[in-house]
Amino acid sequence: MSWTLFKSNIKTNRTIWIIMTLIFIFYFSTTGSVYDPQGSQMLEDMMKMMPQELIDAFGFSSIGTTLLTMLISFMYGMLLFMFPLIISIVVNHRILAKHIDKGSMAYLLCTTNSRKKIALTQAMFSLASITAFFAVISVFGILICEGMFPGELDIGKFIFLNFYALLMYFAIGGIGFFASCIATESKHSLGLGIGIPVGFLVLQMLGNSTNSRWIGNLSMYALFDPNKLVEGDSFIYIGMIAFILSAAALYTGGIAIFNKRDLHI
Amino acid sequence: MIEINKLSKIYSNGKGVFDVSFRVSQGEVFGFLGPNGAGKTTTIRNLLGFTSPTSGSCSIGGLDCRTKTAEIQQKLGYVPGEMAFFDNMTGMQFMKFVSDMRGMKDTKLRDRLIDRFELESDRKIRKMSKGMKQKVGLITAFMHDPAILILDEPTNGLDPLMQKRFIKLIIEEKQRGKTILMSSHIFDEVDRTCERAAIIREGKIVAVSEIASLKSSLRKSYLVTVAGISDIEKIKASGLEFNMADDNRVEIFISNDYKKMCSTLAACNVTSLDVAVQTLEQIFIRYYGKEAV
Repeated sequence: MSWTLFKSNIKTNRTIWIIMTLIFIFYFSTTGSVYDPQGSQMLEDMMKMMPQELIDAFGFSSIGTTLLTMLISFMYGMLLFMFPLIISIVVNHRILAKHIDKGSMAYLLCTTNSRKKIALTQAMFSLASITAFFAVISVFGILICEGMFPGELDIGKFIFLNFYALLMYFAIGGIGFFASCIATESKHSLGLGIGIPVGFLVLQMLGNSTNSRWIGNLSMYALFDPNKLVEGDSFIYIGMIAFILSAAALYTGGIAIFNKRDLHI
Repeated sequence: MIEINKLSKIYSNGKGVFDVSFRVSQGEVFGFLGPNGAGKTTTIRNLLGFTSPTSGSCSIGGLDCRTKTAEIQQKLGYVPGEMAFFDNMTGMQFMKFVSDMRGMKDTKLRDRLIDRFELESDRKIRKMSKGMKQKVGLITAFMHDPAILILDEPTNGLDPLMQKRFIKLIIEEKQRGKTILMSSHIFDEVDRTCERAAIIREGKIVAVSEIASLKSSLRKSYLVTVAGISDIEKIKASGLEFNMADDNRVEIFISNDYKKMCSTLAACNVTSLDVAVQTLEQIFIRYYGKEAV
């Protein structure tokens, strides 16, 4: 680990990170404020005014009855695949592929640090940036909910939900990081790093909104089912293990390839 | 110190470098000459361990360039052919960043170099001109006082005054016993600093030789303008090698027979005399004949 490089990564990526995190928190507080402890009749009525296919595609189907289930349907459906995904894509592209494409990687490698050490530092940063996102979201989420509706949020499950989402993001980040390690040009890194996660998202939306629900199961996001977490279904552990294993494979594989490959810098 | 042994690096498009061998001894300043795209940077990339050779090997200080890269970097300074930095930093921030990455504390040499090259180090690199970026690259390569320097077209973008200062720096470093490999497509620059040079063309080494012997083989050319046809006739009769450049202008090529040229021209009515710029092509003419260029 090179702490100097880690710090410089923070400086480069803090703006995008802060913006995306703030937007997510903003959505979180507005969504939370709609919650009505007496029942969600008003929301249900509102949802009926929208076409069913649209609601399904965005995963807003079951609002449920508790604050947690409502947050799950609004925040941990579609929005979860937007703002943190942008952080993940941008960060993973910047930390390696951009330096390789521009040539500034030459300076990183000319500083007595081995390739392995550089790649390891960047992998740590990639994981840390998304972990920080979910840590901040958890803390602010709890503060916002407790501020507005004291005692209504199942805090234990909420933290566990964020941990579950984080593990999925380790796997998503793994895709971006791997793409960043193997790319010779920026467009390859971005093509894979955006294309694969967004491709999975499209599969998921198709599965939700059409009769062929099996399409949705082709997406890795099918392993992320927060409603099962609420129900206490052990399916989520399968999902978690799958996310951890794919993240481990993608990050270590990426580092190994980066360590061996030719760099035209 | 630097040893390249039958190195080949062949890219998928068939280009690259083929069977390159040469060595640079301790304390030597070695020139690496070749036109753009000849394979200088490809060779240097292998020396820095950025790419793995297709076949052959190279080592620096006895350490293999691809596997012992980080160890080699301890005593190596490198100026890339293409300057690419962390654009959002200022020159100073970038140099501090590199020193921190190297874990070095002493900044005296860096500050002396900043003065020497008159670098405005507080400017954002993104906003710098090509020459200023080059200065940042040079200072970054020299600031940790490395024993070995690999410089890929180091004077790229520098104005003539800074080029002069750079050449002075190289000569000083040479006196301090540094080993330097310097690539260039300008013969003059190599001539002023290096003892020996390798010439590369289309991925193959054409010659490795003393600068002095390269120089003696280098034909100089003079552009002579004379008053009239009779003068041209005199030059024709003299046996000097020449080309008609114009009706009353000739380009005379000589390698060392200055006396003959002077005596011939003394008899002519010379109205102007210019030295044509020496280029690598002239060396290639020597090695390949004209059609090869």
